[in-house]
Amino acid sequence: MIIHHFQVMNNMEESIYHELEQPSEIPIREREDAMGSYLMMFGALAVGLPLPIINLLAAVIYYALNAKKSRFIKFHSLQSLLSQLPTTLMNAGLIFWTVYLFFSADHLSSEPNLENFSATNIYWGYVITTIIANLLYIVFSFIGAIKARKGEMYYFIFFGKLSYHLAYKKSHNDRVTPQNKPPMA
Amino acid sequence: MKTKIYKELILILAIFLAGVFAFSLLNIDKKVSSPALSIENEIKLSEYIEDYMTNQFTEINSVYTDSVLSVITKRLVSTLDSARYSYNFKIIESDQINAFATLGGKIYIHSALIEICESPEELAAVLAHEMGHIEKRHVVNKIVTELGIALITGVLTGGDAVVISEIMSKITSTSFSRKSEKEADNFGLNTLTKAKISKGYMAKIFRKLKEKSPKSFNIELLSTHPDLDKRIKSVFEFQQPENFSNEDYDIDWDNFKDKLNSEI
Repeated sequence: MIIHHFQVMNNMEESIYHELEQPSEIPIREREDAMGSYLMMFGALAVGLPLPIINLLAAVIYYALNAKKSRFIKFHSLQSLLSQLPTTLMNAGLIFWTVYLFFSADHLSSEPNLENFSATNIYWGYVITTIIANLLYIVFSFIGAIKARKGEMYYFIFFGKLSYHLAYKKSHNDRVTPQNKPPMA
Repeated sequence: MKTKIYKELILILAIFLAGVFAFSLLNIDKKVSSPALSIENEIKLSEYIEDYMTNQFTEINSVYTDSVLSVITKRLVSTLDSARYSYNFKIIESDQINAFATLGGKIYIHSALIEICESPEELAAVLAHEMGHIEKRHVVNKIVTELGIALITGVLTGGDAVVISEIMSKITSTSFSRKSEKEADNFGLNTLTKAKISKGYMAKIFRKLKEKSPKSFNIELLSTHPDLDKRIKSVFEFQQPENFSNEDYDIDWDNFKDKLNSEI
């Protein structure tokens, strides 16, 4: 009875998501498009605009243009876009905090004066954490790109599940219980 | 699925906060803000630049002015718990209203600053502030930060004239951070309290500087010590003890200024 209950529950859960494609079912073009979503972060650098907001805009545009091609592409481009948000926010926060610290010295000297820059240990803690976050983002983006090119699903912590949920969850129309069933059911 | 998503979100936030907290324990700020030059080496460095300072400024030396200055400064220096420096105060001829601390406990007072002081207590307030820069090692910290410890120790072994000139340029262009100025103000106020000089004199001299034309190029002290309104407010917020009593110097200040002007 209990086993039957769990089987029923699993079937119900599975039914709200579309079935995952296997690597052999995913065309090369789709894999390359999915890989491209992770490599967009270098796009901004390539055109000489290494600003966090430009990277984010590029990721948004890429998602908007490619998400409808397939769920596999939608998943990877969504994961790339969403995982970029925290590092963008952290980088922006770091820039603002640094500028604030430098100009809060409120000095009128025209000479650049590093001694005027007065920071706290929390600031330095935030700097190091932000640097590590950016490095991790780059490393995992590369891994994601390689996996996507292989036609594989690769799940980042939190963003992987969220992207899967958003990309593969069936819409209301898709979840209509079929009336016609095979005779063995 | 949603529960797992939220759990992982909380995990990421927790890792971020833990990271910031953990790395803040490295105490990088203290390592960055602590000067790498010992007091002994600072004093040695000050001896190297002594001749250059003497050549750059015209010092006013007279038995009378020196003795009056000594009366003022002796009361201030006597408040220090431990004499890390052998303080040396010098009056230099200048029409710029300024006073600045250099290395090794030396403080230079521009004659124009003395001119605007209505009492020796006002001058004492400025000197107490400058002593704060020395005791808190703001000057040496600024030089080491901007020029690098390697360059400084190079001077100690060789006396490179170019580097010494650069050190002097850094010293005389006194532009400290708001944090350093606040530290020097607090030190100055504590010193004045111990020396039985009212904090009002510090507020008075700040106000006097502010009242002078802010666009005048003579107000060197103003341009390197900004935000005087806030600092005047801080002076009034500083609490001197309830049993505090002011003891003015027994100095004929007008006579001192006249004698000083006659030396210029």
